[in-house]
Amino acid sequence: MMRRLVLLSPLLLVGGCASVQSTFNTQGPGAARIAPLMWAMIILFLAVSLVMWILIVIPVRRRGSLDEHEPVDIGGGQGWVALGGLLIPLLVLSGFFIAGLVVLESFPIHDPSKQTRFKPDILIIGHQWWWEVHYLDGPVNEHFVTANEIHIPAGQPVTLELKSADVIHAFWVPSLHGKLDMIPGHPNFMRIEAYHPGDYAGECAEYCGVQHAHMRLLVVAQAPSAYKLWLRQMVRPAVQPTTPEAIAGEHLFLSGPCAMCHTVRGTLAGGSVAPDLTHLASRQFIGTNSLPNNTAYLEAWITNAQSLEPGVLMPDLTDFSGTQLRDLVAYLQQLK
Amino acid sequence: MNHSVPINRSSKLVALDLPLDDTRGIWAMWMVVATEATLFICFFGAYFYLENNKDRWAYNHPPAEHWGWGMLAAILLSALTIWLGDRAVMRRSYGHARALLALTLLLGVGYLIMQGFDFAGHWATLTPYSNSYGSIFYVIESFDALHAIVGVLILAYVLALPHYAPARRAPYRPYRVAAIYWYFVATIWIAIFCLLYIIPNLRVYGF
Amino acid sequence: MSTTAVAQRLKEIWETPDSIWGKFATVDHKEIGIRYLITAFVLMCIGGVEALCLRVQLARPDMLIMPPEMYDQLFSMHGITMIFFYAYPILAGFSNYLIPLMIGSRDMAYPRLNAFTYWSFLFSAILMYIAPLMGQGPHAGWFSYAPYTLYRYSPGHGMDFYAMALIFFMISLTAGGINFITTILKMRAPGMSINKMPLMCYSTLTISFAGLFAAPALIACCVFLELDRRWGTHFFSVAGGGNPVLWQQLFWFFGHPWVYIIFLPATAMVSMIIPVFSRRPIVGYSYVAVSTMLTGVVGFSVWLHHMFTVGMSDMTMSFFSAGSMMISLFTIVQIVCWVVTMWKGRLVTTTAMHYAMATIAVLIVGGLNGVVTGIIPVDWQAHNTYFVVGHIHYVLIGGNMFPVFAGLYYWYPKMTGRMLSEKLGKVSFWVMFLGFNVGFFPMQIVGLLGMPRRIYTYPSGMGWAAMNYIETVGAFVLAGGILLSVINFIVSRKSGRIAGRNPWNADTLEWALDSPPEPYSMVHFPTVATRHPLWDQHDEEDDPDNMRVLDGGRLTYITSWLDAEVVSVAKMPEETLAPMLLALMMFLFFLALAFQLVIWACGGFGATLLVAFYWLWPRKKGEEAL
Repeated sequence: MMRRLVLLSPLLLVGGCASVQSTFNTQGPGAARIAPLMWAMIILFLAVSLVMWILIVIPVRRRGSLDEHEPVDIGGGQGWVALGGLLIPLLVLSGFFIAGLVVLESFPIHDPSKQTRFKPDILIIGHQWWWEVHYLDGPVNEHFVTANEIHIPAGQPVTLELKSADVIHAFWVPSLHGKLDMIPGHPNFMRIEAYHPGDYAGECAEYCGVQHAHMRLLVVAQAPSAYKLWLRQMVRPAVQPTTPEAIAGEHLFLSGPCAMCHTVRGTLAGGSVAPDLTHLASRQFIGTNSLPNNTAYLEAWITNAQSLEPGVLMPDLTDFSGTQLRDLVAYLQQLK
Repeated sequence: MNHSVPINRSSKLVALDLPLDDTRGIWAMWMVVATEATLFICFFGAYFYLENNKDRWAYNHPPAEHWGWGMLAAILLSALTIWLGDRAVMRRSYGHARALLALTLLLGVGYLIMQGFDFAGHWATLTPYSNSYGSIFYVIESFDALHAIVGVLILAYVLALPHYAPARRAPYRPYRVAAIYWYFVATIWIAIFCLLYIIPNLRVYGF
Repeated sequence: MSTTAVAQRLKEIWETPDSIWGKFATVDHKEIGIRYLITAFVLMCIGGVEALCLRVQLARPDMLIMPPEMYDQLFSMHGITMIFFYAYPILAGFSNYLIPLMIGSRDMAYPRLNAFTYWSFLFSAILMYIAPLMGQGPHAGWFSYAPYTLYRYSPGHGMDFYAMALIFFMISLTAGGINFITTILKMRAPGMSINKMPLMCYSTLTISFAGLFAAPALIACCVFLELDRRWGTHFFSVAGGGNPVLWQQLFWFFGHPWVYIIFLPATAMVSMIIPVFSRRPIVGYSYVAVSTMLTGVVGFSVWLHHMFTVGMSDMTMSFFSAGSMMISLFTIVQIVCWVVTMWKGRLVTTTAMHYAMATIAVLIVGGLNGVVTGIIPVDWQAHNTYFVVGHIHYVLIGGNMFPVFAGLYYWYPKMTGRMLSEKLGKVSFWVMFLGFNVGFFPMQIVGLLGMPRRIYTYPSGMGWAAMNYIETVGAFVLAGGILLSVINFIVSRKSGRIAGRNPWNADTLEWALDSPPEPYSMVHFPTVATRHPLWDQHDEEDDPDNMRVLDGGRLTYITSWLDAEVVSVAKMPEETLAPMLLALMMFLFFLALAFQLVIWACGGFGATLLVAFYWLWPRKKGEEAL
């Protein structure tokens, strides 16, 4: 039913719902609960607007003249005001209000007074301008930290705890769920679920500084078995470099500026102000899900981050020679 | 003013038959008081909002009250004196009014001095930099002091005015206008004293 | 004595001396009103140019025409300029100019305070613009959420100037509100009881009261912000026990009433214009008046709908969602009153009427998508996206800019004595209307397609590029339309047709006066019998014995606030430099505070008190007149 509405929608012709990051592209129960209400309101309100525009234009045919006017005590029309201005809108608005409450109630956790009994599966901490992701499922020795790319099992609800390390951010993956703010000192909880395996894009939705625009989100839903494998891979520390370039690269990484901010588990690099890079090579994107994770962009990001994302905390590391840069990237690319 | 056209007699009569308006200043002052009171309500709102965050911090170490009682006495007494002074103006006994105004001014200055001691007393254990409680506490206290200072200046200005008689020129009824502001200063202290001093102290005694 | 002789004498009493001193010392509400209009219009043009820069940057994906810090400053200054320094002052300009004329008074209740209100508005706008000119503009949007605004995340002076300029501006707003309230309640013409006053008075009264109770919240949160930034307190920093949400609570407690403050007087202008060009009294005067006032009241209980994504309990959110539904009802009532008035009347489609009708058309769209964001779960998707950007532009351009242009086209003849070109006006209207819809309708779609607001660029392949391009084109078309009107305003000032007293054959008192009105406004104080003084049989100026001219000095009637019976005569002040000086001293005070120059700030505060003392000290001049 919803799909047919989407196809019929004139909006589709303009925008195209193929866009992954769309509130119309509902891929999980959270977004799917909201979309019908949103569609109903949009369609009804477009119709009302159209009717009103026609009602505004029609009286133009009855021309008057500036020389004459109706007597000041002329009455009339009050009934129309009571009907069209009070009664009908009251009914419509009440209807939507109640529908809104029903939809609101269908969300299991959003009310802070109810959410203490939910244990979060994943803790996401917003930073300027990246996402720190803690996996808290299972025993403590299976917990691990990663960044920016959030994997969830498809078809299963996952409880997220949302926090912030600095300013206010907002977690928003439109095709899965509405947005929820990440406020310092005010943890929030959200339960997301994706119906099917796939990549779901999102974005920080609360202005948080110069690189707010590139604080993108990626939720990767995997089939439960693949997700289990992924978890097992993530828990492991970083792989030891084997090729000479990668070994040289590791040395550069650990002795250079990189390790001051980044962590690579299993090495001495333990910086905490920047994304964890333990399994960087397994991620699809770099630059907080803004740039493809390939050799060219890795090199560009290391030497020219300030041109790619001006103001980002990653400095331009221009001291590396060409070989050094290649070694460093070789090291990063084998961090599967 | 020398006008080329003589005054229109009849209209002058109409003007003279009607009293000269002397209420606009009072209206304005009531509205100033309304908006200033809202400012303090916002401060109190912030106080309780921040407190909610911090497990009722104020109740663990409530501020000492002793200077507050003195300030309360001074401000209530001063409100009484200026009220009596305002009545004296209405009775046209301007000498009494002026004396009562001077007394109000003295009490106001006394209030401010006590507030200084009150401030100094709190400073030993709490500063605005300690935590959010200190921040909001001192902001409320400072704004109260600021309003009292402005109030005292207004009282001094009215005291300096040459006469309070129904004047044919502005300011009209300055005494009443100043009195309204001073009642507001008194009310604010009552509110602050109850919310920031008495209630937290009562909590300590288990109420 | 003949009426001309009285007029001559009144002119001598009321005229501001034509000198440099007179320019700075004037207390004439008409002069001040015009200044308000021009200053606000210029600020709108500045804000508009800022918006065009933003639109150029967003026209194509992955563009980097300007660095992101500059983009952030531009969108912040665009919002601040439009919402604070254009939208209210332009309405205050209309109210300042028109309300004394509409209610038959010779000036506002506190003319010197009125001058102060203007000067402090001007100086606060200058103060706000000092920061971006130093290259350190505010960069956190017009609502500047903490803790991003704290010094740690926003070094530089931008946010300090934001806080100081807004406190200053709120003082100006409060002073203006006090003035409007007393003027409207105490200075109406004899017989203009409260149920006969023009609808513009209701809206100005409502927003003035709303301003009195809303402005302190903004002052409070700006005080907290500045203390946190520079003086080490902990209101918003979590480390010291503060709470960032406090900013949002206080800001929106101010912010939502503010939205109505910049909206209601504009709709009231539509309520004035539509009946005139429908050639009949408005249908549902009481409905409009009551819903205006209720909007002002209920406007204080909807602020949390800006915060549905903060994470609050169902109960709290539902209450504010219900309030939001209720308040939209009051606007719908007004809209339906306008439409029924048009249906029951015979239209004269002047340019002003075009703009008024466009107001209805645009406001319907903007209002209805506002209802969308009032439904909690739907808001979780729409919040902070271009859907909301589209919504506020539909509401504020529909609910403020189109009415303002309607008002300019309608009252320009009264203010200048010249008619505007109707032909150029209609061309300008259609260009604006087209440009506006092309520029802003796609925003609502692109927002639902997931485009957040306040991003300086976006990747390609999101499905947003085409619509953003269209939006940019639309914005430029809108700007072109505005430019045509500006040309119209400038050219017609000299070469427009002479307007005469009442070119529209309208019903309210200001149209009985000369165009432009004399400094004393009217020779005979009018008396009022109905809501439409110039359309009824009652002769307002029937005063053969010159009993209602009050030419014994700067005098005007004070009437009772409900029935408007004459109770006394108010003596109005002469020109004085004190208001300008007071505003200037406060400007220096806030400037010093923005730079944390404590000594200078103390000096500024002392100087402010001194000037206030100078202002208030009784003067001998003018005493002998009565």
